[in-house]
Amino acid sequence: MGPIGLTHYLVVAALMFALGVAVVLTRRNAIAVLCGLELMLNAAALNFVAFNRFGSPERMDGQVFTVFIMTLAAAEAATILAIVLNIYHSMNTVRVDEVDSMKE
Amino acid sequence: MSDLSLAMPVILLTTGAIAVLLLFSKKREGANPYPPAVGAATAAAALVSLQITLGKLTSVAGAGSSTGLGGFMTVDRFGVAAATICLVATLLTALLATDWLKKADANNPEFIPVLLIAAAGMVVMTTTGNLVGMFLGIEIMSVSLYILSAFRRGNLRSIESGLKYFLAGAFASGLFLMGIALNYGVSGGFDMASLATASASGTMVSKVALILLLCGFAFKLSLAPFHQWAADVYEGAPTPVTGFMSTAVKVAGFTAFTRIVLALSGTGGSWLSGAMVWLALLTMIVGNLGALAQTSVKRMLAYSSIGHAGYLMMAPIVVLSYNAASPNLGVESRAIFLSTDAMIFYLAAYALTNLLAFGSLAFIETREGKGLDMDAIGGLRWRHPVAAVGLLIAMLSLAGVPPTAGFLGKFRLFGAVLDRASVTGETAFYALIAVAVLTSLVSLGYYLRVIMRMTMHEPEGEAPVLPPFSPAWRVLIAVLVVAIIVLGFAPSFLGGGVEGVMSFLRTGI
Repeated sequence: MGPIGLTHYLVVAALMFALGVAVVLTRRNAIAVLCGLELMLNAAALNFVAFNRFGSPERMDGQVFTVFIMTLAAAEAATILAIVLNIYHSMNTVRVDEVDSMKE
Repeated sequence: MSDLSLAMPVILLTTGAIAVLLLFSKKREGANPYPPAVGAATAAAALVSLQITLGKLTSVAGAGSSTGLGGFMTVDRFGVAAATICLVATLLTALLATDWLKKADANNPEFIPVLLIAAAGMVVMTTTGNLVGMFLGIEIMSVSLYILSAFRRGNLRSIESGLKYFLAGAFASGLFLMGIALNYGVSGGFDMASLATASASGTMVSKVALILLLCGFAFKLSLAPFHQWAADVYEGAPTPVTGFMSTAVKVAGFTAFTRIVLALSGTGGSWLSGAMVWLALLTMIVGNLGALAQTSVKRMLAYSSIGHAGYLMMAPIVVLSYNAASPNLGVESRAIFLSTDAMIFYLAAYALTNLLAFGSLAFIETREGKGLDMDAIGGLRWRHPVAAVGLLIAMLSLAGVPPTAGFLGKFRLFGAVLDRASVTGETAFYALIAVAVLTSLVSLGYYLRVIMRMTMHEPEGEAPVLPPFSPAWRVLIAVLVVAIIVLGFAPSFLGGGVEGVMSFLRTGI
């Protein structure tokens, strides 16, 4: 085992991303899906930080983008929680497969 | 050009949004006509500042684009043309929504600020030469649209639409972001040139990055097989919002996507075009056949907008087929010019047409308080002649019947692809043309059904007494009808808007 390098970070990020995609595609609870989406965003953020640190540490662009991603994740979470709360008020459920009033 | 003047449209839009919030969010009693007026004025101001920027662009000899804010904004004619269409759509949506906002469950002044912020995101998306800027623009637009879709808080369909839009949109954002991350890893940068560098390297990671970017855009642009969310979202969202989503979002999305493809063209990214051809073919077929089966006008228009996305997808495919090794580079550049020019025209025509359709539908919905199934428009000619004329022209233009803007849009877009087919002789282009023409014929079926419903089902008994027309709304419908017909006769009205694409090519690659 050598020192922790770029590959380690990339493997962790890839696993996180795959888990996130799996959660989004399989879970039907809206909150769980949101967790999966956060995992996807954070996996990408980890990639940015790692590529920045090991690729071009003199520039900070990847790190700065990560701050944007964190802001975005917060905005998305606020929006979806407001929507899910409304769904819960009118339907008493947070399962996305039960929210289906428009099928032909 | 100064950084400030490049960012001015975005600054104006956000300032307008904050102003509306500060001025009107306390007054919730009764209908308030001022927020839409301020919103429209803000969009108009942003339009003016965009045109001033364009004027400065053309006055600087030889410079087709201007870069500022550390490479974050790249303003060229291609982007300005697309941003102009987005802002016109914003302006019209604000005006068309005035009536609708008076409804009890929609009477919230926050509608206009969120709309303006979505427009700011679109301007960023279309006038950026940087993947960070593009991502942030997409997200500013998308998050605002999730809110707008779920705007009628007491209406289950509206909230459901917001939820479904969020789930599809956020998933797409995740894919898109990972694509940018991998591209950054290969090339070490965020600008469009970094895409070309990564693509030229031909590594596996760069290919995965491009596939992720393509999937992200396919979701956002509702290309089959990533389109399942679109029908429910478009049907459930408030009608003026559906109009906005199906027009401005498509304009901004296709412009951003084409910018990425422009950077890739001629750098060994052409392996991607196979996937894009399949996406386009499938989208045309699924959208148009799906629309045939619908009983709700709104849902039918949702599928129709999927079909139109399929036609539009042909333009990036032509751009990607640019062959840098060709002995005749003039022909290659001309193909890019023709296809992007046709795409912008098509988008402009489509935006005006769909806004007219949804503006008429929103009116019918507000006046009659019923849903928008085919029965709701039965005998419309006798009940609301103005709305019926609006819907009639919109359907003809969507179907591509001359002399409407929609016809000329299809003519130019299909022409550009046919031109490319005859130059390269590739079967993919002939297949695209054949399917595009056949599905256009199929689309006549469902567009004409709307016209038949409106004109041939005379209502029985006495016509219901309806609230009076608002004169402003009538003027608006008339302006849109005239614009669609004028655009069908005089394409030069918008012509030459995208010569800057050529200079973008020179600077971007």
